[in-house]
Parts: sequence; C-alpha cells; structure tokens
Amino acid sequence: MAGDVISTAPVAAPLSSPPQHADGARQSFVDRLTSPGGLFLSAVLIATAFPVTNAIRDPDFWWHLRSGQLILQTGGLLHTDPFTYTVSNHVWTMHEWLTEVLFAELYRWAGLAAIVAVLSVVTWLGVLCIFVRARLDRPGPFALGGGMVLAVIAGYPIWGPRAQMITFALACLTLLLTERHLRRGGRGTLLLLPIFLVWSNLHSGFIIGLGFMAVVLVAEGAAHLLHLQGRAPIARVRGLALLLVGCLVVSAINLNGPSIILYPFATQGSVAQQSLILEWHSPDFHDWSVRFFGLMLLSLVALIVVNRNIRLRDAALVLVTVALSLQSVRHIALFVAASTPVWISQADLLVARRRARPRRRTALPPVPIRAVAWGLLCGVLLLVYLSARLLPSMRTREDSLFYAQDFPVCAARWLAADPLPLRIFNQYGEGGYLAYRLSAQGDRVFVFGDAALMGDALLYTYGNVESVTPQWDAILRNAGTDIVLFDTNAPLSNVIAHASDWVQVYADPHNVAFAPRDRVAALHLPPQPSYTTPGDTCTALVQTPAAQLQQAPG
Amino acid sequence: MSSLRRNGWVIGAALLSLVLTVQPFRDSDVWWHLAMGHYIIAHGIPAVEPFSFLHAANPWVGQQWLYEVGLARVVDVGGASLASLVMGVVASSALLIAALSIPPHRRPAGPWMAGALILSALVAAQLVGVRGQVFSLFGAAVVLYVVMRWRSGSTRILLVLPPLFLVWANLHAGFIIGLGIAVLALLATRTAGRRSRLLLGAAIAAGALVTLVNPSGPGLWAYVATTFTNPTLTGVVTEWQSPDFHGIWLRLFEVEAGLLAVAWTLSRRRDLVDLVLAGIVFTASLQAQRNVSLFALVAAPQLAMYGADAWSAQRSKLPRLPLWPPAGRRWRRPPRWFASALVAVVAAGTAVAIAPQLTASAAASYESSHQPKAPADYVAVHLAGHRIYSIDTWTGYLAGRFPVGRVVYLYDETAVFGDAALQQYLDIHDLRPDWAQVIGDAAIRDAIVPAGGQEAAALLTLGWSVDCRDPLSASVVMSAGGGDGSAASFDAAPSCS
Repeated sequence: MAGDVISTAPVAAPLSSPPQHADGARQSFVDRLTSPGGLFLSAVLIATAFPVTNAIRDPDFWWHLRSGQLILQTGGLLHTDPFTYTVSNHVWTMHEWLTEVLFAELYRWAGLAAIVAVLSVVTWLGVLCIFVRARLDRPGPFALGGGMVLAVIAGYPIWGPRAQMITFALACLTLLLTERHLRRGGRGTLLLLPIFLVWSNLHSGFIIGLGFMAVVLVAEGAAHLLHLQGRAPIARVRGLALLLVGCLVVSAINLNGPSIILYPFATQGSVAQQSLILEWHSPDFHDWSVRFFGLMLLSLVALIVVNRNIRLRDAALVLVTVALSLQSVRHIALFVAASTPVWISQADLLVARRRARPRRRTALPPVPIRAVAWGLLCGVLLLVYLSARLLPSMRTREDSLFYAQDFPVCAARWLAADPLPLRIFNQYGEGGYLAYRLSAQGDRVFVFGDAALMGDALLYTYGNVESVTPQWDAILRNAGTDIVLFDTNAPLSNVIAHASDWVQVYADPHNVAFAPRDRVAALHLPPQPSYTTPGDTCTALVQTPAAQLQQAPG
Repeated sequence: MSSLRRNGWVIGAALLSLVLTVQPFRDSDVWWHLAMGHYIIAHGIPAVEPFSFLHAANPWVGQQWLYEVGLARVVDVGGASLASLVMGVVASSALLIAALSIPPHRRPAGPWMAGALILSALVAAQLVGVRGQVFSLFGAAVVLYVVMRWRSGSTRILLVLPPLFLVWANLHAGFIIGLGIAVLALLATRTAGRRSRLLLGAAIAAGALVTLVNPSGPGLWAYVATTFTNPTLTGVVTEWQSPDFHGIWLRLFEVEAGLLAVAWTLSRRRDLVDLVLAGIVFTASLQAQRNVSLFALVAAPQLAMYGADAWSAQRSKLPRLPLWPPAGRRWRRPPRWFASALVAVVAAGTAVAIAPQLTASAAASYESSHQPKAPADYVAVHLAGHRIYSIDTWTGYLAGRFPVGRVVYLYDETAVFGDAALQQYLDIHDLRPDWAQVIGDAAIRDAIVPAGGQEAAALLTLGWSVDCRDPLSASVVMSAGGGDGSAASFDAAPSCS
C-alpha cells in the first residue's frame, strides 16, 4: 500500500505493550534479564566494551594533556600557543579546554591509566545510549544484539581514548533524549540544557548535537506537512524547537565566548585540513577495518528498501550521517551513533515479517538457576574484559614499546638531553607528543594537531615540505629550523639523507633527525645514543624487526 | 505519453550528454594505446611489451588490440578530434541503450528518462572520453537491454550475446562485467520458464566461450584475474582507489545513489535483479572509483523507472503547490511536433557546444597543457636515445612519442610489467629508502617530471641539473650532473619550447 511506504509508526511492537508471558502476566526485570534473550544482550553489552577500549593512539592526546597542565598552572586559557615556532602569534580558541583540564587532573591523580579508563567508560556509555534508544522500538534480542555488535565493529577505525569520544557519547545521549521526548514527552529532555552547557566547553563537537536536533526537527516538520503516519505530536515538536534554541544559547556560555558556535564550521570548511589530515579523508574501503562500516551501510540501505517502513526523522538522520561518514572517516562514529537504532529496528521488522507464526515459548529453568547462569556469564566476560583489555590498556606506560612504536618516544628522550631550545620541524602527527615532552624546556615544533590554530597557510607550507616539493629546503631554512625530526623511511627523510648540506644527527627505527651542516656544531646536540641497555624501551625498539613495527600515526 | 514523444526526450538527452562525453585526450593511457595501435598495424600484436626499457615480467596481453587498431585508424583519418567524437558517441549511446533497457510496460514519461540519463552522464563524465573502458560501458548497456528483452519473453534477442562478447573481448577486458550481469539475471529471475533459462544459460556459455577467441586465448582471463587481485594497483592508479567524496563529482555519484535508494523505497514494485545489480555495482564503486561510471549506467534506467513510480505513488500525499495541476488533471501536453523540435534544438545546441573542442588546434592546445609535449620535443632533439624516467601517467604519453628505441619507463599497463617492476617504480616515485639506488641501477640519467613534484626535488639533491622547463604542462627536463641542488635552478632554466 502506498500509504505505508513512509511511516512514522513504530516499526516493532508499540511502547505501550511491555513484554509479557504467554499467559499475559508481565515479566519481571530479573525474568527478562535471565531469559535467553537477556543473557545474549547482557553478553553483547559487555562485549561491546572490548573494541572501544584501547591504549592511547590519538596523536593529539599529548598536546591536549600538556595544554590542560598549562591551564591549571596559569589559572586561565592560553590565548596563544606555547608549542610552535611558526604560529605562536595566532589567537588560540581552546575549544576543548575543559577536556584538557580533565585530562590533566586525571593524569595527576593516576596517570594515563585513569584517562584510558574514563574515556573507555565514556565511549561505552555512548554505546549504551544507542542500545537504550534502539530498545525504544522493543526489537527482538537478536536484532538488537546483532546490530550492536555490527555497530561497534563498524566504528572500530575510530574508537580509542580521545576527546572526540566525549562528543560521541554526548551525541548518543542527545539522540536518546530527543527520541524519548518525541515519543513520550515529559521534562527529561530539559537535561539537554546542562549537557550543552558542559559540552560546548568540552569539545566543539557540540555543534553535532545541535545539528542532530535540527535534522530531527526539520524531518518532523516535513512529516507534519506531508501528514505522515506516526509523527510526533506537534506540541512536542514545538517543545523540541524551543529546546534547540535554549541549547544554542547555553552553548554560547563558554570561556571562549559566543564565537565558539561558529568555530566548528571553520574546521569543516577548511580545504587544507580536509586534504592533509588522514582522518578527514574519505573511508578507504580497501582497509579491512573500514569494510564493516561498508557492510553496515549497505545492509542498512537494503533493509530500508525491503521494509519500506521508516520514520522520516530516522531516514533524515541516516542520510545526513551517511553523507558525513563517506566524506570523512572520523564521522563513522556519527553514523554509528545515529543509524544503529535504525539498523536494529529495520532488521527486527524484517525478522518479524519473515516469521510466519509466533514462536512457541519453551519452558525455561527456574529464575534462581538462570540468575546464577547470568552471573557466571557476565562475571566471566567482565573478567576477560578487565584482564585482557582494560587493564593492559591502562597499564601501558608512557615509555613503553607500545608508545615508542607510535610516537617519537626515544627521539624525544634524546632531544631532552640537549641544553639549548630547539626549533624542530616535525611530522604533523608527532607535534603533539614532542610538545608534551619538550615544550617545558623551550623546544618548539613546526606544527601540531590543532589544525584550526595552525591555519591553512601553515598546513599547506607543511604539506610542501612533507611531500618534498622543490621548496622544502628553503621553507625549512626560512622558518629558522634547527633540526628535522621525521619518520624513518618517510620520503622527506629519504631525500634529506642525500642532501649534501644536511647531516644526519640521530636515528632509531621510528625516527631520524637531520640538522643543517653549517649549524650543527652550534646546536650542541647530544651524540647518537647506543641503546644497548637491557630492558630499556629504546633498546627494545631498536631490536624489534622493522616488519613488526606498527604504522606511525598520520 | 506516446513513444514518439518519449523517445524525443530520451534522444534529446542523449544528444545533450555529448557535451559531457565528447572529451579531449584526457586519459594519458590513450597515447600508448595509440602507439600500440600503430605498432600492431605495422608489426602485428607484440609478444612482449615493446616500448619500455624495463623488463616486463609477463607476456603482452593484447586485451584492447581491436580498440587500439581502431583508435589508430580513426586518428589517422580524422585526427584526435574524430576519435573524441566517436568515443563520445559510443559513451552517449551506452547511456541511451541503458535508458531504453526499461521494460516497455514500465517505461516512464520522457522527462524522467531524460533527467536520469543526464544525471548519469554527469556522474560518468569523469570516467568516459577516449578510453577502452567506454566500450565496456557500451557492452554492459547492450547486455542490460538484452536481459530486459529476455525477461520480457524474447529469446531471439539472446543471439546478440555471442557476437557481442566476441567483439568485446577483443576491445576491452571489461567483458567480464557483461557476463556477470547476464549470470545475475539468470540466477535472480524467478519468472522465466525453464526453456528460457536454458537458452540464456547457453547464450552465456557461448559468450564466455567466444571470449577465448582473442590473441591471448585463455591468457585474457588470467590477465583479468591478475588485474583484479593485484594489491599494489591502488598505490599507482587513482581509479582503483576508493572514492574521495570531497570532490563535487563524487558527491554527484552519492546523490544519484541516494536518490535511487529513496526511489526504491517509495516505489510500489521492486525487481530483485535491479536491486542486486545496483547493490553490487555500488559496492564495487566504493571499492574502486573507476566503477562509478558503471553504476551511473546501471542507475540510469532504474532511477527513471523507480523515480517515476515513486512519484506517482506518493504524489497524492504531497501538499499542492500553486503551479501543480488539480488532482486528476495533467499539464497540457505539448503538440506532436514538439519532440522533433526539441531534438533539433538540443542537437544544434550540442553541436555549437562541442564544435570548438573538435578542432585540431584545440586538441594540440590540450596536449600541450596536459602532457609534457614541449619537454618531449626537447628530448627528441637533445637527448635522443637516452633512457627517460617519468611518472607513470606521463610515461604513457612518452611511449606514444617515443615508440621505438625502448627509452621510456613504466606506464599504466601494470599487469604486464609485473609486481617487481611496479615496486621499482614506486621506489622512485614514493621516494622509498633505496630510490637513488634504483635510479642508478636502472642507468637512468634523464627525466621528465612535474616541476613541483617530489621527484624533481629529490633529483636536485642527487646533483641533477634542470635542462629546461615547460610552464604550460608544469614539467621540467632534468639530467644527471651539473646541478647545484638549488630550487632556484627551476626558475633559471630555459624554456623547453
């Protein structure tokens, strides 16, 4: 029937019908939790914590941590950056200042372990919000569990302890509260006001939350205009519109001022950032970790086409987040946040349509036995999670081989022995770590991961050196560079190695450093370390076969 | 709507699409294909790669020999302009045939078909032009049409398949796409009778069999397998990489895919073959952007058919706008002569739009600004017989300029050159640790490289000098020795022309 093609009707059983026994009696929470479906979902929820937990891989983490420490030291925001020798006069909008302070406090309290633990939990809470939002449609446990598993695997390229995970979690919470408001009304949605007040100080991704609300509002407006079935009552839509205005207003209450609202658009509109920074690139579907995102995307489209029953607001969220995630791999997290409940409800609808008859309920063991089974299952899974995932990630030390393979740990140790402040031309993704380790002693980097602060002009200049255009030497010298510290085997390193007026002053399997031949004596650089001390991280790095070294962050 | 009026719209759109499909020699590969065509006319199909001083690991597979000979003949007769026109017509014909592959009883009004065709032409425009892949698009369109006719009950149309695949397998290795479409139709069509299915199966088998009638025999299939499974191909050829959706062209592809998904969802009748085919091609397009043109071809009829169906199903629910006619009434139909007049006007407009591109001076100007023409002229005079390094795309052009003497490096026939040669090229191009040694081992002492590129900067550090520069194509000729390593030598170098 044409009238059923686009529907805002619930795609599964209506909310007003709580789970019931075959005899009509309402199931208790424990009964549901210990049912086969409940066991499965409990296991899935714990399993989703595995991929979202990791040690720190985000190259930007380190300068965020250092910034937080500086904010705490100075008692205020830094208005210019203390890390670079190239753009130290640029005005710095510290849109993540509260996250940075949080990092610094956690670090002071319990080191990296606390940050890893907190951000892993925050990410998992975002996943939990997706789960709860998906449950609003009361899907069957296997569609719900399968969808959650697919979602966390699809988001695998993005997960990890990083500031963006706060935005992911809060975006999931925003979508949950918005959906609950449209279905049930009530005042719970007023929670969004304090959420946005904090969020706009935590990360500029709050604009995504506002954007999601706006998309839902536009879709609901269109659903009313087209008289689509199952649309939310107009009073709730109006309430949401007022709330959006309120959230916009409270977002402006920020140490950076109201201009924070426009700040994210500068990043999204920067051609230099989009072309030079890896995570702003489109997904590469030759990469296995991205293929699960492709699988989720294609299966979602197939489910929608087959079912022909989707709320307009869901369709709008899917369209917007698909477009964003195809544009930039970092937006896959937004696709997961917005589209997972849609995938689940569509999968459940398909299962329901294919099932000709309701399944017969088989008799289950008594609740106490099931409760013991539930406890055992969850206990074992939690134990495995803690021992195999969370604790190893938390225990990873800053000077461990894990980080030494990803960041210039050994090179920074070597540079720390230099008595003079140095101007270091560095790899974009390593500037944050070098700033963290060396800025206190006066060393400055060429570039680090706050691309908006760097500006397009500097990013292009950096790109000209990194991609070895003929101007590379002139750019380095004109900037007053003392030393080039780059990844071993990067094109720039392989070219400088043949340049007669540069001399290699340091090398380890991860990094190599060069200085201008005419100034090398004046720099008083420490000699190349031998790295032979047993048990030392850098010794282990030197002894690691090249094929086993992980890829450096971009 | 009468078929005359509908066809007027579709033919008009196909003519208009020539503005997009008639293109200069944009694909650098065309130059070595052209050289190969002349080589085949003079010597026959080579057993080994004939242009490069590299050792090709695999024997030459003349998978496009018929295209190459045809291209050479056409260029000999009418220059590059005629080749551009012919290939543009082939590409637009492919879109036209694809648009007509809608079952007659489901054909929508002309504007739907015309709109879908133009959108598909916009999406496919970046991947058509003078290149063998266009014949694969044409062949795929014919298979779509044959499948449609077969599903409508005609079995005689299947006689088209064996000769189609015979020609196709000698024009381009993309014949595998046509076989895939036909197999999919055979497997997914539930309504066809047993005899009908047997006949299609036989036609597919015959089609597959005749693809062996080519200069390489079964080696052609091995070539296809090698190409599809080569993991390093994506490192060299952009077309094999996933789409970059920051560009407007691929945003158009995304829009077309999105519209198609919406049309499927909102329409009343969906065909499994259509859904599966478009799904597979969309997936292939996410994997390698060269498949986007195939998606555009497949989407053209589906977008028109499902879009029109979805519109008619949902129209009554939409609020009425002032311009819309009242329910149950349509806009007044234009008179019968309107279709002919429309076609004539579009044809005239298209001719006016593409004519300036089809002059010899336009082709020469395009060549000078997009290929290292002046540097090649310089090399022909001053460095005759020297081994020349260049980037893979420009080496395709240089193979056309220097088809004898084996003085050029690696061009984009990577399956023939083999992985070792490809890695050697990437050693230099990507400035891997042993790049300088590879240059030395290959006894390369001269190069034509992009003036702002990494190779130019790297060669400076080896003490190479800049012989001349060509501002038009932003390229330089460099030779070993005599350089001071300064980037200023690029500006100081004389012009190549």
